[in-house]
Amino acid sequence: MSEEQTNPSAAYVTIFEEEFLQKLPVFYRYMILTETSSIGEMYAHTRFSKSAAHFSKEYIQYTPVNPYSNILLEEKEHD
Amino acid sequence: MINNGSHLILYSHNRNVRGKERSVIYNFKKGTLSFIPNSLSELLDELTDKPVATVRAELEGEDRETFDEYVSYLRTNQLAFYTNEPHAFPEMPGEYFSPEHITNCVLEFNPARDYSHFSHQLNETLCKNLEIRVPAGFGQLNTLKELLEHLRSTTLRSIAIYLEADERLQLSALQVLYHQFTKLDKITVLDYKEEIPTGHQEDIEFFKDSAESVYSKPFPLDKYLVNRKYFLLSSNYHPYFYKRIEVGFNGEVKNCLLHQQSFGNIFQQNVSEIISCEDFMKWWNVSNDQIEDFKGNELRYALFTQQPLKLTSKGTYQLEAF
Repeated sequence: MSEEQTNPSAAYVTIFEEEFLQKLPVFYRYMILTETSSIGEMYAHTRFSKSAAHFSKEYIQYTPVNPYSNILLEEKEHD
Repeated sequence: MINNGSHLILYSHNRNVRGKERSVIYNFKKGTLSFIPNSLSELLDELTDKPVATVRAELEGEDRETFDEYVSYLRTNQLAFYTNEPHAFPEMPGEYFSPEHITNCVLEFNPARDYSHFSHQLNETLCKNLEIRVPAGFGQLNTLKELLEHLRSTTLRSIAIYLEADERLQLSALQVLYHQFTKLDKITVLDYKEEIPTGHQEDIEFFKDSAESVYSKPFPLDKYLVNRKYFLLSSNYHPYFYKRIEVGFNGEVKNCLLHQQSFGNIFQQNVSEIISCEDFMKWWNVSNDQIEDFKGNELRYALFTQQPLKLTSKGTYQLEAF
């Protein structure tokens, strides 16, 4: 097929030189680049603190699922 | 959607709670509540043991039509699923366990006092969440930094700061504070009279409400907390008082700062000594099931109340005024 087909929803990239690509399966030419920050497991936006009791210098800071106290402030109160 | 299988059971992230007039299915995955009539709640209990066809065969006429409607409702709202192996999907365990001696602490910060000993004590309780309420005044951030420095290597997972604004308070100083102390979860500025700053990345919010009005309001009764952790906590213990200390401006320790009764002082006693006192812990094991005012309320495991309790002659509890 001479006509090149493009997928507007994905920008394909490859990290390999043509020399290697010739030896690799074709899908190595159609890799999709994803920002590290968009992957939760990479902890890109995680804040780390310390805890001596846990002997940890990478003690993850997290927001509790339940309120800290009786305080409830809602966005509409900005006005 | 799978429409085969002898039994129809609720997904394990759903929990059916019966009330006096109606029931509700708590969906912990979506954080939603689906109200259902008590007749459907009874049916769900029946369906846990019996196959759908057996239950349906026992009904006639209009009852059977209603049954079909109920089944359709459960399937359409993705609350239940069909299976041939109901015993392979046991109900979610109902126990709640937390290793901390204290999970939540609220501190009314007094810039004139030294909190180094308290920080050490709080660390020994393995406390996870701390809320600090900082009054307005010159130098408040410097004294607050000293406290945060003491808390830097503690077991705290998150710290929320409520700050009363004054004319010297600047967003840039708060941004520095936020980045300097990584245990900080959010900074909320109250009583802010200027134009609300926007566009910053940090979790720093500004509100015009006065600190007094914000602190003095109990959590509203028409706001519901629907998640698995909260459900397990509130069905076993008092969801507010359990493993919580609140420390007033002068160091007085309370179950809740909205209460009058104090159980000791952090500047005179050890925290462990105060929290091990029976009187301080008297409401910890009172779940909302034991509170007369909530007994028939199907939303009792989603309520977050701070009201003091009064023991009745029946051995149950009643809400009291603040």
